[in-house]
Amino acid sequence: MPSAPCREATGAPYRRERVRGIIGVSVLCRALTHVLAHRFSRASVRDGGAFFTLPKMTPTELTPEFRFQLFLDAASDYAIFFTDVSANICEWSSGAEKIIGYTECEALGLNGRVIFTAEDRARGAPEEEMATAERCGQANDQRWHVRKDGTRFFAVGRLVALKDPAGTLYGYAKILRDATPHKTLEQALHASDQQFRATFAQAPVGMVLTSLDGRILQANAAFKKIVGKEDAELEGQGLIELTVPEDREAVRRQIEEILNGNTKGVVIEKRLLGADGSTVWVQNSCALLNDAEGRPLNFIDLCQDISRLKLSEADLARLVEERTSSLVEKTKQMESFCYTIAHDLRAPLRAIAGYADFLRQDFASTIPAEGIEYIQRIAAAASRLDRLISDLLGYTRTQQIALVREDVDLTRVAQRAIDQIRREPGSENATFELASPLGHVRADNVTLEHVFLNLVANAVKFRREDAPPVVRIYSEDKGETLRVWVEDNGIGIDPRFKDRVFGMFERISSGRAIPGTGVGLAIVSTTMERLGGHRGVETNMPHGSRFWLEFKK
Amino acid sequence: MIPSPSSDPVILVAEDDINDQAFIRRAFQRCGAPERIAIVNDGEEATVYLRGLGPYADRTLHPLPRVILTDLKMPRMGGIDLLTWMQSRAEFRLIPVLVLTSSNDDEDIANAFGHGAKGYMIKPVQFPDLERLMGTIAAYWRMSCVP
Repeated sequence: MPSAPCREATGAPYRRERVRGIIGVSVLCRALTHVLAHRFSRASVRDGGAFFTLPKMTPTELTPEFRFQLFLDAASDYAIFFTDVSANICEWSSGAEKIIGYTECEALGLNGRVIFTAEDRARGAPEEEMATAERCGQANDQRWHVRKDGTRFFAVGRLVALKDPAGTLYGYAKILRDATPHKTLEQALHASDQQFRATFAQAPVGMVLTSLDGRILQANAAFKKIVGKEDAELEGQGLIELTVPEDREAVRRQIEEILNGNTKGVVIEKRLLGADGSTVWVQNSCALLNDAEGRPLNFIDLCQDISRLKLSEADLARLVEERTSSLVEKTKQMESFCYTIAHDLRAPLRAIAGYADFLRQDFASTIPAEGIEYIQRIAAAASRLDRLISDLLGYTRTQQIALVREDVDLTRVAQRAIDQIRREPGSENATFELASPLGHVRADNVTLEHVFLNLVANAVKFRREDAPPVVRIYSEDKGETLRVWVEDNGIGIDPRFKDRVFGMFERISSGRAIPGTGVGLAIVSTTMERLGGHRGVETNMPHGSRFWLEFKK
Repeated sequence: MIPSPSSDPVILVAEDDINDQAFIRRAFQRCGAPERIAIVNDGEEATVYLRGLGPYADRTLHPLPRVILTDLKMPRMGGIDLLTWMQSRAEFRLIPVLVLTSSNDDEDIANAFGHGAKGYMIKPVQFPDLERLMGTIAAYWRMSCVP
């Protein structure tokens, strides 16, 4: 047991400084057996050779006892204790107290097995170790031990069998070092390594580790599948050679960018050369791996097969093209259909009307009055069919004509419509009021003029018999929209039909027959829809209708 | 109908529809225009007439027209093709051609003028309108100097 004066005389920091870090367990063991030879005269030095010499101290200055104490104190990073043959502790160093937790008083008399874990004790590890030491002189171990407080620590240690010169075992010396931090780190490293290996191996994403000069060091299964190559073909090959030539420049830029250190990883899309000359689109992310000192070590490339995405992109493009051409085809067919209606449907129509006229002109004297009336009805029907065809074509055109977005002065458009309707027969006693300015909107001048023409014409056409038509056009600012009203004092529209009037071929007027084809308001409706606006009709009190058009400002 | 020899200017009409041919002929007769009217069935026959080939070899019977009226849609050679052909022939380039058709298609109108048409008339459905139209055309070209 160390004495207090000695500790003070030598100074612990000095001694620790000298010893710590230079000696390992085996060196310590050799020193220990040597020192033991001084303490116990009958101790044998089996692990001969290297003698442990404390610096600046000669054996003549120090008694063996003192030297032993010095040694035990100095080796404070090591737990050293001695036991008898039954493993009962008989000597306990300060290092042992520090590492294992028992004070010398507590430790003396305890059995050395106390530092073993319950599992190790159960499987006879202490006995096995003692047997090995007895047989071979010593037994090395690396294992988890238990401290006084029950916590565990990982220790690297050696058990030395102490024998007298006759070879009779009289005890054991145990030396161990707390290696828990190393062990923990090692375990963490191991776990991390395992994780990386598992990730690398099982990732559904292709992963390649390359040297700084771009040679493949390691590739995972997913990558090998993408490029259709085995390890033997890949190792040492330049990764860039697996990229199609057209995309290599992008890869060079990617690597340059990473090496410039502007960014940690750079993602590009490139094509890899797959098996049998095919190409595989991948999304490639490349990152630089640094060593512990922060120096570039390797590149790691992740390659996600995006062929399917690329394929569907191509499919999509093809689909769009197909649909567009089919639409263009349909539009052409529609145009040709309209042309046919305009041209070919009208020829027989003219014939009907024409021959009816000839009959009337040439044979009026021989045809009875009733026959003449029929002829006139034929002519009227032909005339009506001709107007229907004209309106139908007009409607189709408003649906198909390309609209431009230009500044439209609604006042001018409305005025032009009024001027045109004013000249037409039936408008002689009509009054037109235009509350200018109506405002400006983004729309198509020509089509919008058709819209106003239809509304103004209707306002005059659907007049009451007992009052001359009055048409008022004015606008209303509704904040985000501009609404234009076309108001008349005519026969009005039954509120039940206020939506139906905008339908194709809808004719709502009741009572007296007012000529029309029911296309005009359909044109208004379609046009406003195409211009992104709205239309509607309200009842005007006491007479008439108020049609409105609403435009986004 | 074999036209009689006459010094009256001729209006050549290219029209494939026999009904329209009948209407045009009748409209001309009734409008009182002094011009003679020669009707061919399509553009190709019009070129035969203009070149004085085959049945039109006799220029006294079939003189070069003062003005031509043509339909657009005709078999063998349509109105636009006839216009194109005439533009390519120096001897016929200056004869005024008017389109008389049922199409009021903007594209057709622009196309016709683009190919050298000097007018574009829509065939009226009502015969009296056609009669007036024919009278107007004949009167206009009677007043106009032509090369």
